[in-house]
Amino acid sequence: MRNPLSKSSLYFAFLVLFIFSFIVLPQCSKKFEVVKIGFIGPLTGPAASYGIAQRNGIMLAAEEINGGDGVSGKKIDVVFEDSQMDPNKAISAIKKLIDIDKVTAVIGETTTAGTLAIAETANRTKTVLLSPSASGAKITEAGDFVFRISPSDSFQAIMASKFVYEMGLKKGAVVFTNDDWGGGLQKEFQSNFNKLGGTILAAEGCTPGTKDFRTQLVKIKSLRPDFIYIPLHPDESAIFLRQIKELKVPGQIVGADNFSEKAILKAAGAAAEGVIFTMPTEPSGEVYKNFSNKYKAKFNEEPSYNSAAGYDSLNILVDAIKRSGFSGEKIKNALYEKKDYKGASGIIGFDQNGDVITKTFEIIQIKNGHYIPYKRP
Amino acid sequence: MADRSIFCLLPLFIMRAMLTQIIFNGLIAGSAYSLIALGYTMIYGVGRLINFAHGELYMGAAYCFFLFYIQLDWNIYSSFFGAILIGALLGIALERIAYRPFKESSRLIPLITTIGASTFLKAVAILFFGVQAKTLLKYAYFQPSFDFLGATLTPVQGYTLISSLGLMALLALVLKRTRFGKAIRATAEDRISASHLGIDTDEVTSITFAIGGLLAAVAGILVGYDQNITPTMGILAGFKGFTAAVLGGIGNIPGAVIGGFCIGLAENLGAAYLSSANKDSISFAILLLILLFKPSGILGKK
Repeated sequence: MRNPLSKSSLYFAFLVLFIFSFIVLPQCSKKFEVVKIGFIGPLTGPAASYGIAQRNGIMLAAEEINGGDGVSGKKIDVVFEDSQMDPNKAISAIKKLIDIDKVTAVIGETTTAGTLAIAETANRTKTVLLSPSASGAKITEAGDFVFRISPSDSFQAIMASKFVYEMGLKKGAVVFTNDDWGGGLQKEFQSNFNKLGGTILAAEGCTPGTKDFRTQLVKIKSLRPDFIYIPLHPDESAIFLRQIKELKVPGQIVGADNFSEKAILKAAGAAAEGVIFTMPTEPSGEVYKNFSNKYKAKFNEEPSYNSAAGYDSLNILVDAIKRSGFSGEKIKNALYEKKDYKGASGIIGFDQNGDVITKTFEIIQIKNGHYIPYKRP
Repeated sequence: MADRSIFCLLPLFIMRAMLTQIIFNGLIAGSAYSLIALGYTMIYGVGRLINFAHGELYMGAAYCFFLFYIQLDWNIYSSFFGAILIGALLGIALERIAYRPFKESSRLIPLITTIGASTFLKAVAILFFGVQAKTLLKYAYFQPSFDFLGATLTPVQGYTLISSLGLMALLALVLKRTRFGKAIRATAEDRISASHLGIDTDEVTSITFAIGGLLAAVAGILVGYDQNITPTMGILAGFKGFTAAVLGGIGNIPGAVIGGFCIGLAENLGAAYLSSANKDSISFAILLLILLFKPSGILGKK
């Protein structure tokens, strides 16, 4: 027995050490100098264009913060998690971020359904959850630790229904993604439009990720509506617009903030011509210009509302952490105090529900492949 | 209240005017499902394996077509045939890597390796092409359409129907009439006896994967051309193809074709007359019902 350790158990011991080094070493070295912030959003799947724009905005903000003084002397480290627009995956992601990465706060989720799914965990663990873009009306009641910097859908649904009615379009149809965001918009739009005196002839839902709308369109075509309201996610909207043209369905197309990503123009092109939609007011002013120039230099493309919202989300969190400290409770209170943060996506101020009350929506029309503020003819 | 009464009248209304359109929608969707189902069923037949990466062969070929036709600017025919060739080669590669090394082990192993291959192929597509939907149209953003028997169709929908029927007929001919078709049928019937009779069953399995890949590729390209492509397009298509194969009786070739058309028609008629929000759940429901009441499928033996 010269060698009590057999070769294979020696290898095994090395393997275990090797694996553990990945888990233990980074924590030893970084624990005291890094502030971790989590991000949860769809980086793949039918709403990926939102998530990616936000991730880019966040990456730019993190770079700036780390290039400057950091957060109270510490560097910032953003951990990105892909939810694939699946609320279940978002729940696993937030658990991972809080339990394993020990993040200070979480940016996300991008979509309403995802944010609602993870709100409970955020409230229970007293972790601030700040969504760059969730707009569903239900988020208002999602709890004390949930914030958002995009205005609530009830505003945009009311605005769109009123606007459409005043255009003289009295009979409509709705095709919506059957989730918290699409279903919420459909309900708000329909009830407001009915209150105004209009009629919704049909409301057709579809599962997220649907690519064949022909049967829904055939139904709608036979009813001859004046307009079709489409709260659908970006990839769905693109194929929907194409099939409308192919099936020769007449009527004005009215969209929501699903058109806030211009990627939709790349996929739908001429089929998107003439669409009218509501989106959070296009940002302008010094902060936006500064952001936009840096964004173009880094990513070689025009920023969108979502990239500005991602950029603001990290900056406003860092601002709150700097003013208050690292506990969730303190960050939460610091955010509620904020009433006039000048961000790239607009002025941000929160009400007692964590809703942004300083931003509004505007009506945009797509003309010759550009977004033009809509003017009544 | 007013719009409620219109909802009640809706089914009657569509029945007259739009039934042909809905049936065409169902047949076209169904022909793509049939092509996918044929792959599942043939691979199951010779290898006793549910190939969970089958939807990714469908997706992979559509992306190859995108690479050739849009990014490299080849003409449409060479792009199409190039992409289906790659679909077949992907099928062969899948068999070599994820099936053959494990064919002697428990049946669970190749099942898991194909799930791994599926995740890998999706990741590769995302890596090279990004996650956003891409259109396969080169010159316009939508296709011109034409009216046929009261239905409005696009040319590619017509090609989908015609080419899938053609391919199915060709496949039936190959399986019935050629020596090679006999080898496939013999392997499916009894792998061990077939190899005793001098049939190279590995070779047969490999070529069956190639045929499955080719059929999925044709479906992927045609559907992708019609409905844009995304890295996740294979998931739902694969699931529905699988359901079609089970519905027809897994391992049964005419069954796969019938199953595909049944699923296509059922989900489109269901979307029109029941609820469009549950269009995709219809195939899930069908799968559950078959598994409960007739697990061997429509044409399957006990």
